[in-house]
Amino acid sequence: MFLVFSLVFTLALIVGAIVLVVAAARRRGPGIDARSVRRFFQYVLLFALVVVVAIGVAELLGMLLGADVPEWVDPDAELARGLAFVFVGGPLLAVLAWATRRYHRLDPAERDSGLYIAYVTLAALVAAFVAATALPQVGFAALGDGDLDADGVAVVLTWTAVWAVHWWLARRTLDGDRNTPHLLLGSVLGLVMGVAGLVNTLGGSLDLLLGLERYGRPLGVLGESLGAVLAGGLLWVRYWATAAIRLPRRPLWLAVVLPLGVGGGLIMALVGGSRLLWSVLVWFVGDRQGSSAAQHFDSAPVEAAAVVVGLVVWWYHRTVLGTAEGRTEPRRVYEYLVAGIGLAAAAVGVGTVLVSLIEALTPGVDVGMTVMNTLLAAVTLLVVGVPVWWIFWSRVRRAAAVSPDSELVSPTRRVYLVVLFGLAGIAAVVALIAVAVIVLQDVVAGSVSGVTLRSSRYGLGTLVGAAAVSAYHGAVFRQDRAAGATVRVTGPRSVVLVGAVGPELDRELTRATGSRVEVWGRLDAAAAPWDVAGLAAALGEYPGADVVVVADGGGYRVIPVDPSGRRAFVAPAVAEPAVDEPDTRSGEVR
Amino acid sequence: MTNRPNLVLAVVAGLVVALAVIAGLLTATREPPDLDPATPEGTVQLFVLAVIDGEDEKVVDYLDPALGCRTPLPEVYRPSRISMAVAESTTTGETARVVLDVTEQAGGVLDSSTHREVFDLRADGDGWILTGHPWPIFSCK
Repeated sequence: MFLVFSLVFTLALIVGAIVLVVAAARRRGPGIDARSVRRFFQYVLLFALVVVVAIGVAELLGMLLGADVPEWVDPDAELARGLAFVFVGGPLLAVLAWATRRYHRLDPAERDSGLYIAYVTLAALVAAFVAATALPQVGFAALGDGDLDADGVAVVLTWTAVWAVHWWLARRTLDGDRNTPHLLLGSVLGLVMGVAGLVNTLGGSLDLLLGLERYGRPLGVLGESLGAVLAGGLLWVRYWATAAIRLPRRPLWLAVVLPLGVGGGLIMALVGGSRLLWSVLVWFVGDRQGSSAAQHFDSAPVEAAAVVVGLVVWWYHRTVLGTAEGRTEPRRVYEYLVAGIGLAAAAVGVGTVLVSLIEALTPGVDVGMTVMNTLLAAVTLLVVGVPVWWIFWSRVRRAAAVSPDSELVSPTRRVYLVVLFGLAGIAAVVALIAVAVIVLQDVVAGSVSGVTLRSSRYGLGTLVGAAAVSAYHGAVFRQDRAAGATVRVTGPRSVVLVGAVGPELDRELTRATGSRVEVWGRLDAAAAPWDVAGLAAALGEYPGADVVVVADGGGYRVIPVDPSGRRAFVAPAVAEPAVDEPDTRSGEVR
Repeated sequence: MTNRPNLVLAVVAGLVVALAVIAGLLTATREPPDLDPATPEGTVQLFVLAVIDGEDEKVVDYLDPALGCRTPLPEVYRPSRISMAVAESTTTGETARVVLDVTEQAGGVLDSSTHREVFDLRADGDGWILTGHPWPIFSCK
């Protein structure tokens, strides 16, 4: 189950990096020039020097604290490296940091550069990560051996200092928007470490309390888990509970709370619960292969801990989302996400039913995983997945029955259905190819038999699960379409609003016209909120075009443009009417 | 939100329940197959079961002495959860070849991998012994 969280964390990091790059790319500026190349080398070198000096300081501090040098390491070389890193890298770092500070004083625009933001964000997160991952090692030595891990302590102290400096820099030099990726990625790091540590601590404690036999040093493992809880907890409190929780609820914030907090917590609870329930069912109904209770339930403490921690994580993030009046888009995302997770478990259960049926029908020898145990796995997945899906899908159905106009056309519902079809389609194609390979292999060898069917059972199970999901949601999709939900809104291809105000204006207009909308502020005059409905109606007359809308006097002007710059205005050949003027349709600014 | 989606859902749910009931009934009445050590197929499957159960003496008895295996066997891979079936079996005079379809389930039904293993045998008295490099031991040398 930690694999799931690791995967989510890795994905979150990749998404974070992509968001940073896209945000930097979208930032309007002069493009790549000598100054941006200078900044690139300056911040890359600064980051490298910070890492080198921190490694050197940690090594020297470790030696001062009495760290053991492994036999295969030359202590003189170790000392020489530490001294070189600190006494050569340190002055270079000081000079470069001084020069950077001077650049910032001379030109305040330096603080706005994407490379500076990336440097501060990356340095703070790397320092937090290194310090946090060293703390469990200190806990292992402390509880397992009763020793002080001098190396670990030196790493924790050094990198915590590096983190503190960059945290202070981020708070001082990055405003809310530019510090958002740093705060959210730090929150993710704290959450993942804290949750992993909590599950291991709870599971390890249950192991010790129940007196289950464990190899190695169980107290050391417990100390390691407690170290992870402490590190993750401190990071989470600093990054999330005292900072990021108050950030505006924009897509990046929701991407942390919904897929990771709600989705990750629920998936962990479902996986842990399924494994635990399956173990219990096999013990009472299935084939336990002569194992003792201690052997059979050896992973039960960790699974129980995963259920408890996963449910708490789910509940917490659900509470943070709040219970806003009305059916907001985040609430929709929450319900569709949870329904989708339950559906995935149920679909795997449906496929596993077919797997067990084929196993029962065809000849074979089973050891450790009998047909009964496979059938119990299917029942477990259905028992766990179907109620979750049913509860949340029923809410969606009720909302669609009460207000079909808003529910059926909501982007969340459309994305949900398309994602389901996409995933089911990919699963079906992969399964079909796998089945075809097995069948053709036996056809070519002239050995088609019941074993061919048995070999194909997982592929066939996947096909059936995907078909069940597609059949039901296909019917839902067709019903939505019959109700007019999928009628495409046609407006301009792209719209630039000049002089517009209002944080949600671009999204509202996109929803109303289907256009890609960009908002530019006007610095020479005050602007009032725009009438989105009126503007959308006016833009309906420019299907497929690119337009600029300029706030002008009491209304706005709609100007068709060519973003490529290759086409220009051509006066008509006939004399009248004289000018094919830009559309200067005006709308009321309220 | 009624009619067609609900109908499809009812059909899917009914089919799943029916499949599960049939699978349960078939499973309850299913007998483990008798493995005959006098046949190449039986020999191969009994050999794999002996490897899994750690019965090294039986394992060595099923192997060609030319493979050099003696008890206790050295560190060999012993899968704990497998499902196997004979995909193909051909006998030519004193030799035979059996292809076994093996599904290993390390972490339960959701963590499984299926592969096919080829076993070569030769007749030995009333029975058969494995030659070549049989899975999962391959070689003792």
